[in-house]
Amino acid sequence: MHTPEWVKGSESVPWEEVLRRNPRERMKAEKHPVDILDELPELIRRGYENVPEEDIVRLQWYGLYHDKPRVGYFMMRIKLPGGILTPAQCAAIGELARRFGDYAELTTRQDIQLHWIRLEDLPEVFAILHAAGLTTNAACGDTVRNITGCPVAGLDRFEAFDSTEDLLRLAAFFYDAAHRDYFNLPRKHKITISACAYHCNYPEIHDIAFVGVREGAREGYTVWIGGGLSTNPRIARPLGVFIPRQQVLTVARAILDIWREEPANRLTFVKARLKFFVDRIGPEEYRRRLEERLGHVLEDWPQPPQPVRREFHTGIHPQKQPDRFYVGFPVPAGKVNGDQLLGVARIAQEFGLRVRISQRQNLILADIPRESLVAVIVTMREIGFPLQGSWMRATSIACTSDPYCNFSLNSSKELLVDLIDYLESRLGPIQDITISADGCPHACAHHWVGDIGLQASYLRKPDGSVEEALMVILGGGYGREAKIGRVVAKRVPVAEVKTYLENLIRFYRQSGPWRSFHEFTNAYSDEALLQIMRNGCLEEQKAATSVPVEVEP
Amino acid sequence: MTRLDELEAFELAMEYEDQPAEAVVSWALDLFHPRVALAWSGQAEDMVILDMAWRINPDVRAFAVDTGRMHEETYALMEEVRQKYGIAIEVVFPDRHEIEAMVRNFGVNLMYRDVAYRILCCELRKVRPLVRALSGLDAWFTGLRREQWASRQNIKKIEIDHDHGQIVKVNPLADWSSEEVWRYIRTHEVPYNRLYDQSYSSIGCKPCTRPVQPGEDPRSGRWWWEINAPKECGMHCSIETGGFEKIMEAILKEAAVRGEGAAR
Repeated sequence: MHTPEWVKGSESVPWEEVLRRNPRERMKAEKHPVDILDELPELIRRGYENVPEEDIVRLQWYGLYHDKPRVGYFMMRIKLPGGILTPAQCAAIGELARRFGDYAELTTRQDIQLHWIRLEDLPEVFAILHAAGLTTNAACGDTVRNITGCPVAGLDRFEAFDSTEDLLRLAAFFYDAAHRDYFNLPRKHKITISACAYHCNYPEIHDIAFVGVREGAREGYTVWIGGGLSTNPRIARPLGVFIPRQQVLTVARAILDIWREEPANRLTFVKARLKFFVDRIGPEEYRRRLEERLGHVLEDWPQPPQPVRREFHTGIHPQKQPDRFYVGFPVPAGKVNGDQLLGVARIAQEFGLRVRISQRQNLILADIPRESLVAVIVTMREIGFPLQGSWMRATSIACTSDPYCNFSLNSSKELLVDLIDYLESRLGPIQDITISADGCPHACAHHWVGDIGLQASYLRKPDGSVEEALMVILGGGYGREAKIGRVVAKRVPVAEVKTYLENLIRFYRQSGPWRSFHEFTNAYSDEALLQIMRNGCLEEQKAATSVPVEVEP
Repeated sequence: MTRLDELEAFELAMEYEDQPAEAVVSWALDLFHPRVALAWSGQAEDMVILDMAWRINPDVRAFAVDTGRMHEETYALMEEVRQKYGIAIEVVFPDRHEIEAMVRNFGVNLMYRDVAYRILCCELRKVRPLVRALSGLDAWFTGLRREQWASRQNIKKIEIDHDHGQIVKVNPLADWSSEEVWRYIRTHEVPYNRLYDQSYSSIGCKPCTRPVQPGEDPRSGRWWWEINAPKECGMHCSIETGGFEKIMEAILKEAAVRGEGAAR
């Protein structure tokens, strides 16, 4: 196969070597995945059993994955740029959710996922989505995934400016399957853009983050690249530049071009993410290449901006628009059913509200007039979204997991809800700690950076039976505290994890005052944290307070 | 006992991603031997790793699960390994009580009845003995390769195996093609399973594998009679990926066969 004309890399890796070593690149070179849609009628005619796995993988480019255990049902990921959806779109998704298993998930990247969809359902489902102005293009596969942003962009009083227009410009370009080159990236690619004062969109864990800054009247972004989690977590590295708002798409394309045109980045699928390229050449060299490609020098922005504090837009907030409010409603683990989505759409229509999905898997209703606040909150409670509840309950997240995901070892969503119930029954409402529950190492729920990160594992007994266990990751953080956590406990049965975390949080509360849970977990060694989790105190304290054992007479 | 942290293991995986299979094998033997072993099922890949490892450390360990339904050719190869390399593959067997109960309840060829029965058979004959063998190890080698199955492209050369008690799973041939496997076998005159000469593309239990003619879907070499079965690679058995165990849990949860099949 000849070298494609877009290959312009400088690291002189021959294209044949890429194809020889990386079956993913062979798959894409043999048939561009965007073209699989043309073959859909033929795939349906042949039937799931007889569709080659390569074609099933190509369907990822339209947001589809095998559900577990790969017997013909698919997960479908619907992209919502910036988490924005209209009431009519919310209703359309609600109808689909009701029809397919009466279930949907709000995701940590502002998508909504459906399950229980079969190959033969796809033409109709795609038609419904397109009619509603929704897309699954590039929702999975080696593409630009959903472009995330602050869910209350344009509404929040403290944002630097409203970045919605720039976000939508990026989405319009990168979701368009006519831009085939950007549907053939070395690996998936995650972009976020916002001017949120709280960095609620986690720029530090994205491949490219446009972080809104303002200098006097000038609005623009500073750019971070090469963040990401999964098995090899990296905090994004600042390029140290300022770009005016109008240049966002040009710069995003140029950053992607530098990466995608370099065949060295395609030698192996497991090392293809932008973060590894940034590891290799460094942010300074990346900036140099970017300026070379743009044909001009970029303005310096030496100091990376910091969020003012941690805020995930839960609860009631006045908007910048007078007498309007937005309310972030907790959706435990992001689980919703069809009727709930239809209910949200109905409320939004009735009161003339906007609907947004947050990265904490929550629903946000906005533009609520002061006089309707109570009515909206009461109606939301009636459909199953009470506003009451702790901050932990509102902000903790869990990945897709069992019974759907092929990678997962547990149901992290059930685990999360159950764990919070337990902790709060013992400790009362928890207002300053967020939990990230993941079913596998891929970290969809950010176990590396949540206050308490949990990753599922198994304990296997000699008779072959399995006990669910967890890895506990502590010390990670978002925003001002951006940091990859440490694996503090490796294989702890779930029941014990509950006690471990109860002990840990109790100790945190009693040993304070701490500025944050992050500060607390970073003040102690792994060994000390383990002692606290196991015994409720440190060994030295135990020794100091222990009563001498009385010997029986 | 040597255990790697999740972060350490995957950073090492990235470091070794650009290095040849021998370097990966050598790293694992240095760090883990004698608490590392090759999961040997008589596939071409297993023989490549065995040969490679033997050249680095002739005391390398290998184990095989004898399901009781294997091909004569596989036993012959096991014997050849003993002759040529002086390696006694450690054979582990299923629990006789479990197999006796299963056969009594469902018959000796239960795998042809239905997917759930076949998976039960896989679990009792293969997975449980495998788990037992792995429980004494800190690391294991598998012959998994990315090109075997389009959904398997994210296999890393070094992984933490959460399906098997967080030991380290080493996949030195992750980025090898089938041609490279056979070139190695020819170049180093490595003995191989004669079933390949009879057009088998996958080595497994006798009732569940068959030859695949050129041009035929390689998946038809395993469990070809099944309807509504989980879509699987059909080449290197997915038991090594852990994917099998996840599917197994899902299917046996629905089916009532488990308790009865394993009843003692």
